[in-house]
Amino acid sequence: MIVVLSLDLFSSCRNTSLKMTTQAHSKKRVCYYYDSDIGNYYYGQGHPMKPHRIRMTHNLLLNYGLYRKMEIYRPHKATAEEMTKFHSDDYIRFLRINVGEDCPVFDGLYEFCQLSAGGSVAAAVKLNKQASDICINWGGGLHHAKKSEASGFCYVNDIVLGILELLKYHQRVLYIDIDVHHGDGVEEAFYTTDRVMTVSFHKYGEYFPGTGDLRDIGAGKGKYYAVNIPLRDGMDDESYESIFNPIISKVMETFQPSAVVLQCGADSLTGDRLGCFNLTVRGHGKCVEFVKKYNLPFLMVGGGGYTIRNVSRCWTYETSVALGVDIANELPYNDYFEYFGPDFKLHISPSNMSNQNTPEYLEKIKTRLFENLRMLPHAPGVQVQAIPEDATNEESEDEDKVNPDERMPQQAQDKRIAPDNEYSDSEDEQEEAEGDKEEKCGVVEEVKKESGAAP
Amino acid sequence: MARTVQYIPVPRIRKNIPPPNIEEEEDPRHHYMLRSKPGPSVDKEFNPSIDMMVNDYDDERTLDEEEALEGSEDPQTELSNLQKEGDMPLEELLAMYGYGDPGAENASSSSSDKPASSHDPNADKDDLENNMVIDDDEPRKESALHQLYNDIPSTPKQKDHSGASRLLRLSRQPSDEDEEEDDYDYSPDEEDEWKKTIMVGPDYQAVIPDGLCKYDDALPYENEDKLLWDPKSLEEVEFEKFLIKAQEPLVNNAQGMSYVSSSIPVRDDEQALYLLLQCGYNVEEALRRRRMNVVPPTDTMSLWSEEECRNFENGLRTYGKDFHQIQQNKVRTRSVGELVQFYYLWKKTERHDIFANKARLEKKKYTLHPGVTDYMDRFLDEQDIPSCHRSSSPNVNSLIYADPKRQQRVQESLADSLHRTASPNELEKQRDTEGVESVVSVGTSAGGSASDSGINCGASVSALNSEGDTIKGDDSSVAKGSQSSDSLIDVEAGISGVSDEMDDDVALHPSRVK
Repeated sequence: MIVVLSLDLFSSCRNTSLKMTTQAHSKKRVCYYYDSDIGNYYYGQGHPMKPHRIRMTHNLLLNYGLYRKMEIYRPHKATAEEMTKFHSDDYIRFLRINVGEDCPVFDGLYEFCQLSAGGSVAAAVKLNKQASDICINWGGGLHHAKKSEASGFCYVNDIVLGILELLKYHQRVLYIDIDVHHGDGVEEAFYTTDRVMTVSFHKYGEYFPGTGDLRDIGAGKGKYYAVNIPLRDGMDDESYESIFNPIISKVMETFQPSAVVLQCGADSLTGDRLGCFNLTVRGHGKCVEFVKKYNLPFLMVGGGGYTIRNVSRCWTYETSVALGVDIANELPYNDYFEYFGPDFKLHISPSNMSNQNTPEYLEKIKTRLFENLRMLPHAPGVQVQAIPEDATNEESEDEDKVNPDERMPQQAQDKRIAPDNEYSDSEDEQEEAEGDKEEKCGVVEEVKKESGAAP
Repeated sequence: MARTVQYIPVPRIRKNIPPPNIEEEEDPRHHYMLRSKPGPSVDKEFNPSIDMMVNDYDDERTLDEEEALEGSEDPQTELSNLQKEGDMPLEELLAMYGYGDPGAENASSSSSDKPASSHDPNADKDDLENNMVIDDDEPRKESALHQLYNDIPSTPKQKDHSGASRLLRLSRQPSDEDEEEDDYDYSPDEEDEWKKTIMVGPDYQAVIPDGLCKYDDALPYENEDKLLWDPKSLEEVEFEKFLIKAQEPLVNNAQGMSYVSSSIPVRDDEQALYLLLQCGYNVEEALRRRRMNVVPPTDTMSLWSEEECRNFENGLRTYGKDFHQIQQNKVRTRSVGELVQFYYLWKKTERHDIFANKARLEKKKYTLHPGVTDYMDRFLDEQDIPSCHRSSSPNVNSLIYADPKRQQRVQESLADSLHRTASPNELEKQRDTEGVESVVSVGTSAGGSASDSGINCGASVSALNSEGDTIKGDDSSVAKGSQSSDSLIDVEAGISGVSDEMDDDVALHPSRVK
């Protein structure tokens, strides 16, 4: 009895102190995009994609009292003209006529796409205007859609449209994808540009969509600007953090984006109907927390997630993380309360599935990706001096505020130290010496070769 | 055959032995590889034009022939043979196909056949790896290949497979590195059907405008995003007060609800907050308007009549979850979207449980004559439809909020909340609300949620009040019947039986749907 009490005291102390430290930085203006019709779209009997999960999330947000803390928008419906900023005209026409008008089976699908895309574009504009720090569109995140092709339940790629909008104000945009599936649509759209870096953590190996190999790193100017982290079944919170944090730190350091988009696909959660990872809501949310600490304009979108009760748990929790508000583990009563039985709690436990990602495997991937990231010119695109002064100010501020290593396990930090020191110097020198990016690349490559022999 | 020296690997081998791997044919990269090779040659002369080499020359003829041959063999046999051969040591394999002396392959021969400089030696080497066998009728070809084989310094496994070279596969333009990784990809154990490729070209990438730009006054899109709530100018405590007050009139309308002074966090009410925003955060004005308009007229989910519920269930029985069909044939008074919304609320009610149980029994009964009941239903229901009066019985939307299962939850969650007030953490959280006269009724949660899903609040609260009596109409006996604990157990058993067909949300099949 006494032990229990003291533990309680301890944890509550810790909670309050944590709360104080995080809240100093974490009070953000959060903007949320939601259309109450979005849950009404139904993909068809037995189809695992259920837009209803977005409504369930919304209902939880209301009942947790999080809604009142955010700026709320019902997004506009993106027009064909907006969608063709990325998609081909023919494809969008096809969607509108064949799927939207002629095909009752997909009743409202076109509108669904319009809302999803409208939300992400509107969110990007909001961030561009610096009218918000974090924008959330759980109706977005449809990362598989291609320029002229639907794929994996995704018809219009709201993320690409959102990033294209962000690129109007930001020289470099970072895209991070924690869906269990590879973010192929976004990667492909930006495969040859150095202005968008796509980083996707996903199950790889006899799994949809079949892309996302470690060795797919971008092409042309975009070479080294696609980062793929192929994972095996059973990723748990600890493993995920051990790879997510160091890679994102490194990416932030080398790519130095001025805006971030995070696709929060919830099919990487344990027990997902289509997924095969073992993450809890807390572990998934840690990714949001980590990215948020960089204090960059931040767009959060939804994505996959096929066990809908867990999807709504996850996105509710992640909304609270964005707001920097603690919410009770006990779920408040809500319209869909019955879905959350038998425990009616916010947080979920991992299963006992085995984790096929050994620390050695993850370490190997990490090393390899670090090598690739070292190929980046230190601050790509600086030659374009069009960035407004407020954007640059923001960056330098961020560096002061953020200590991305702060939360990294000591073990991981130790591992990072050697390679970091080893090359950062030479890279910096290069940057001073060489103006031209191409040449820089060449030299760095040499450095890499040497290093290949060293360890 | 004229193409004796042609080094497009697969077709040549095909004539004699099983192809390396049938699955490879499905891989788009494989086709691409074939396409990226120079085209067919005539006899020993192989002179691909520059044009052929630069552009992807597609040897349709060869492919067609190859495919024609493919059909003549049983793929399963091919595959298993291949598997066996793949596991064989090289010597054995050679012996099997009549090349007893592996050393013989070193013998050089007419390498002049091959324009070695203009093609990829790796492809041939792969070729050799996959099928060390060559048609006996074409001995010269074999030696040519062997010659090439010897020219290759290293095995593919030793090559640099770094992403740097691999990614170039994506390029449509053949290049040295491109071929190098073709080689890599071509090794049979690496090649998998599931792998897909990121495509490169104007048909695939987004067009990124150069440089940055600024919005002028105009937004980059026409339609407007509608602001529904903005927390900017009021303190949180004010919202809380407002929300509590906003819910008061509803509570008062419900006769004799028990007031509970409590710490239950007040649920956000979208409509009330929107009203407050519209009133420029003038709390008094917002409350005044709200009292004037207690029942929002635009509720989409308001007042599902018993008839509609029944038709919906009939429709579900007949068409499954084809809500479009149900809307067309059963519940014309509602939009498809409303049906979907209703479905997700309905499926967690006791009414659903009864429905599911019934469906299970019917299924048993009519297994021998499937569909018979459906036809009867359809016939009868089609006659029913015009007589639908939505608001004939004001209490029936209690389907959702008077549902015994829900009521139980409301009570439990209330009890939980009360219980939680004892914990110090919670107290801290509720400091905000101190000093506010926290008057929240049992109905708050249900009433509040009603405005989200658009259900008439007043009615639902009163429905909560009056326990099981509220369901009027033909089926009321069914609803009441389930109140006893015995029948409840039956119902539960029924759900588990039916849920596989009815309830795909709950079923967790680890199927890997794309």
